[in-house]
Amino acid sequence: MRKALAILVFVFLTATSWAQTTDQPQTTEQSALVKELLERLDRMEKRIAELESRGGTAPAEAAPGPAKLDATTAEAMVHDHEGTVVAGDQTYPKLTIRGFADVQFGVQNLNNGAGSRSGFQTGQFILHFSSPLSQKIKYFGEISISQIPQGIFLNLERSIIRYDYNDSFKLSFGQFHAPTSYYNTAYHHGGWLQTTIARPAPIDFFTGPLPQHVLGMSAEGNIPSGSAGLGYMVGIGNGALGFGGGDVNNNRSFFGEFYARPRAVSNLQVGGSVWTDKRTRNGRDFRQLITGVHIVLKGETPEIIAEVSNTHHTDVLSGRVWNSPMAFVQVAYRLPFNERKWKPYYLFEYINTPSTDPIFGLREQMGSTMGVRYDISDFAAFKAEYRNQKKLITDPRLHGLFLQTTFTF
Amino acid sequence: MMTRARIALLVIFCGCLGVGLIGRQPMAVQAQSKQMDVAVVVHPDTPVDNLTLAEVRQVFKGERQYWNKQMPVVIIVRAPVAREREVVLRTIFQMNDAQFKQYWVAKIFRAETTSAPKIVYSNTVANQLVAAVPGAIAFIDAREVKPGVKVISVDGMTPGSAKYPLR
Repeated sequence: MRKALAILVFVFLTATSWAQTTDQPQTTEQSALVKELLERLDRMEKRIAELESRGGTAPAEAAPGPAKLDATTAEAMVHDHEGTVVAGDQTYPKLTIRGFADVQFGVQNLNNGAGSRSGFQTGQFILHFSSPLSQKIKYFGEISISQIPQGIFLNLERSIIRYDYNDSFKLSFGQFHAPTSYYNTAYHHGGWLQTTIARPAPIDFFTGPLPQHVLGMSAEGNIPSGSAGLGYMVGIGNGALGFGGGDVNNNRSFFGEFYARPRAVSNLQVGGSVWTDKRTRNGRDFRQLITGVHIVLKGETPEIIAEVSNTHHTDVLSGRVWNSPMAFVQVAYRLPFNERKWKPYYLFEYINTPSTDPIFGLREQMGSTMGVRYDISDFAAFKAEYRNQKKLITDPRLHGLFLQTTFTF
Repeated sequence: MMTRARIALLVIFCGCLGVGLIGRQPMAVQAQSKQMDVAVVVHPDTPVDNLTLAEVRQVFKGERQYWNKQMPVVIIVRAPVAREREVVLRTIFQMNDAQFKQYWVAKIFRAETTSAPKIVYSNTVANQLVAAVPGAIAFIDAREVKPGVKVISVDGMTPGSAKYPLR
């Protein structure tokens, strides 16, 4: 087992250092060459314009300025990041598909008397669709395909149609990510986008207590506020059990998120969220109120994501209440050398739910994750992390080592 | 007859000359290192004449997507390694090229927009597109701005001003 693990670590390190040694000089040389070619292109275009104006071949009104374009020519001249021709802005719908996938190897319960478990695992295979239907109507969809012991699990994660009035009012209908946590809406199934391999415990896909999807409608936009950079999202939905139509009761959930992106501090976002719902367990109704705050520094030198939330459950009949605080802090830093490909990180997570909580049950989770991300290209990365977690006070500590390659395509 | 010392001096001289020639930058690269102001240009019908640097940042980062309710913002950027792109990534986005690409993938994934900025390979094409597409905004070497587009001032300053921020 240890031998296999050592081999994997060796392969990981070799692959990263190989990529580093082969890519770097080539990239620098290619960049210089492309830069020179672009400059030559600029000079040639300038020269052609001069010659055309001297020869009188260009239209009189276009001679001193840019040649006028029709829509077709404009379409042919514009490209997106992937180098494919982008259809003109007048062509609708215009479907774009992007995928996310990953493969990982994990070893759990290291140094545990009960014995360790290890193995390879494919993560979720995600396809994300986006398509403008008109200048102000947009569609977004997302499906996930997961391998589970019973077979293949196909799930519709998001399906949103959005009508833009202006920057301050955009109305969406469909199934979207619940704004109970910044992390939940910012990364969700885009594993390549997030710094760590695993999501923070409060919003873990399988065991996270916070609601992650909601089916309903929402309004969002910027709040005219000058340098404060305020924004909002408010909505109504079926409730926490978003998949397949929604909650089992006839009550709607209400939710809202407010944030500030002050212009004075680049990449800073500070915000808070509220979620209300009625949950039903064993024929009894409980009011749910989730409040949360987040502070995020999105730049990578450093990158900080800190979130704290409290879930308040109230028994509708007896009035008995339960409070469940949860929090996590993730700190990362993009190192300046080696073309800024390395990003070490640390994640601390905490959940404390009372044993009698009727919805969550007992959870006393506390854990730390330390790791490093290496971006082998602009669209693929290796991650390696060590996790040290405790699910309950009485449980033994879990130690795990995880390696992952994750990418977008 | 040359002494060994003279031969050594000749070898050192030739070596220095060689190093100097090899290390000499091509003309284009030398010209590039000169200060260049990058003009922010928009379609002539765009209802703005001046933006603060923070507002320019907001527009180029896709946080402001409409000039008014009828006119969406169309962002046009130069392809990688163009000098104008380097200036804008450094001063407006405060990102490197990889971060810039990741930023737009994330933005589309979060359903905030359906497409990344349009890419062009020369200032001439950027000029033509901005002149042709209502709502378009791009950044162009100030010396190559053509009639048919509107240059907007940034923090009240136009390219060529002593404290112009995009250079």
